[in-house]
Amino acid sequence: MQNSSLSEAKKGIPYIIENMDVPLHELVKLKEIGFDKGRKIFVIQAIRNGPVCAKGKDGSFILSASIAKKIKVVEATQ
Amino acid sequence: MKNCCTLEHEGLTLSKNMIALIGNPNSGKSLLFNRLTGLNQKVANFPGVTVQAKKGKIARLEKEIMDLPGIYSLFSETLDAKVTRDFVRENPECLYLNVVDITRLRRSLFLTLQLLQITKNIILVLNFSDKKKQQTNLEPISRKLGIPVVRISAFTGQGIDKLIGTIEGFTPPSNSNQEIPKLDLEDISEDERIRFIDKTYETIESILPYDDEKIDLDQSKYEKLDRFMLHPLTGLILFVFVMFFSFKLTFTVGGFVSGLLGEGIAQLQELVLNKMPEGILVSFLADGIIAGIGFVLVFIPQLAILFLLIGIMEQSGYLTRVVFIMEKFLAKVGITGKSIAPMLLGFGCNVPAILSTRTVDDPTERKVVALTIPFMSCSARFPVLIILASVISEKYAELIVTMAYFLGIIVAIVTIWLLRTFVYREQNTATIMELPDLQKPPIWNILKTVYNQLLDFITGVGKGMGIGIILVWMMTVFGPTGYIGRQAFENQEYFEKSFTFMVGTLFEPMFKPMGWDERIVVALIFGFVAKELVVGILGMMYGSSNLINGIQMFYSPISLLSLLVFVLLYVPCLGTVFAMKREFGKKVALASVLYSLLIAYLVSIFIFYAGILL
Repeated sequence: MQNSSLSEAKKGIPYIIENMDVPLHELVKLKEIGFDKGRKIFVIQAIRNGPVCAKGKDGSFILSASIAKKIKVVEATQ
Repeated sequence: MKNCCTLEHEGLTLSKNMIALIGNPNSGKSLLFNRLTGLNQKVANFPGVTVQAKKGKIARLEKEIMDLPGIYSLFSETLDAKVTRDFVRENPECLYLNVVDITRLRRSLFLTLQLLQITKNIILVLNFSDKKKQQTNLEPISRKLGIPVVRISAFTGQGIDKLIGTIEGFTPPSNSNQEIPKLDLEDISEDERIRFIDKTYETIESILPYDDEKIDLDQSKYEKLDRFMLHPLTGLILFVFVMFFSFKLTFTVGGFVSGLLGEGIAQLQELVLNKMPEGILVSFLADGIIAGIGFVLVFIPQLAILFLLIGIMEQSGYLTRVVFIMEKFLAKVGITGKSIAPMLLGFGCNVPAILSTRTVDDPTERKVVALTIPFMSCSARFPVLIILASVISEKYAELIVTMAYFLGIIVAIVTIWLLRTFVYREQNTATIMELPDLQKPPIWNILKTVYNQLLDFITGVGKGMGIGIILVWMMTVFGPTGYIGRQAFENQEYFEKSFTFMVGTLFEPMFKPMGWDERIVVALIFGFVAKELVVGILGMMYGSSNLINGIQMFYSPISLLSLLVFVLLYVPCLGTVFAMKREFGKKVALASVLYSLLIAYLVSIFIFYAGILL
């Protein structure tokens, strides 16, 4: 299983969030909207060095590159 | 003593029998508000539409209802969230309809559990039930939370009667079977907040177990269209095409109807001039009311199409896709994706756009965005752009208007860069923004919104603008020597005896390099009050029956192009300045006026001389 950042994740493949190494105030926002360790996530669209559109159980969110780079994910076993 | 239900900071006083709508952004609160009240609260399928609490009445229940700004958490620090938080804390006796998107139920319960800390007067309203394929068993949720749960669709109207019945029969509930995590909402550290969030989600798990098997990519039937819209290349091309198509449609269909209306207005003016005896009254009617105010109303068909298209883009969720496409670029100049939505709202009207900056987390970024909003060409400027573009080149008018809109965006971006580089350097936020599902826009609601916006436009024309038009008419038919007559509109010799000429002469040297005379200078001065006045005054000065030829006789195309750019960029209208002062104080409002004036002057003078040299 490959570990990568959300920015590098492939579109349409399920990933599991492994770690979110973002500043505390952003971690609060992410957790409030249901993004957390162990959660399943899909990348719907990503722009190179730009934002990522990620879909989780609780809806889709646009995450800027600075955040997406710091979210570590691992491919989910289907 | 504090009243039971008040929202003092918003200037709203509520009755004791109050109902309040509360929920996440995009949960359909405003749509439900419109369903229940029959009012026309603006709705959009992107976050931050309701930034002020709005009040209405449910006729069937004889109760007042409040639509509170959408929030994810009572801890949120944005100003719109503060409105909601303060309201809930001050008014625990009110009945809260906690509106949640049924397809986002787990996340939405996060706010529900926070609400339950403060009040038990809650009905959980599961909205968009038409979108959910599988039926959720509501009984265990209701039992565990200890509050009634109702399934509705504000979109189709399904379940509204049941909701009304539940409100009528609502009694304060018994205790919930669930242990609700408690935390003081004031002065807590971020570490404490994180612990609280974890604990709250543990509680949610016990109510609604997390089942990631149910996440898939095919939940939306518009998935392919969505991918196309979100693609960096096709999405950008589509955005340019959508903008151009919108103007094309506005020009061709709206322009045709406007043309017929214009002819009608011109014939009416002729009729008044021919049938009534010459005098002050006939001039007032023909030159002031018909040519001035009537000429602005000619643009209603074009505005209706523009409002309709903007409504479709907002309520379908398309504008949030535009945010995604533009985020990378705007992040480079120094703003986050959340700031793009207020900027796009500025295309409709700058005043609500300024208010919607409340959704932006960072106060510094809020100011930066507010200072750029006046460059987003609002609908009031649209008639001026149409007229001037048609005079410059009838064949390429829509292209000129499209380019003008893009010029406004470019100036806004340069302004952000300048402010971020030299004034407000600190940046501490990143984009975390919900992307709502694409949806078929609710046509009944869009049409209501369009009707409401047109009504605002017409009453605006009738009130503030009417006074401006009459003032300019009086300044033109009167002068220091007394009544001049309507010849002042047709004969330069007479015009030079008028007060309008005197006022225009004072400022005319400033605009001499671009070749604009006193008439245009006066139109620009009054345009500060409301941008529609520019067209009204031009119609009055150059004759509404043949305005295009009238203006063409006096000015070269390049002089008019520089005028178009000046109107696009110069000082925001009075309403926007007041909104800016209210939100950010006098200094920022004044800075906005002076900066936009300077930019408009420099860019238009550059265009004029560049045009001459080329």
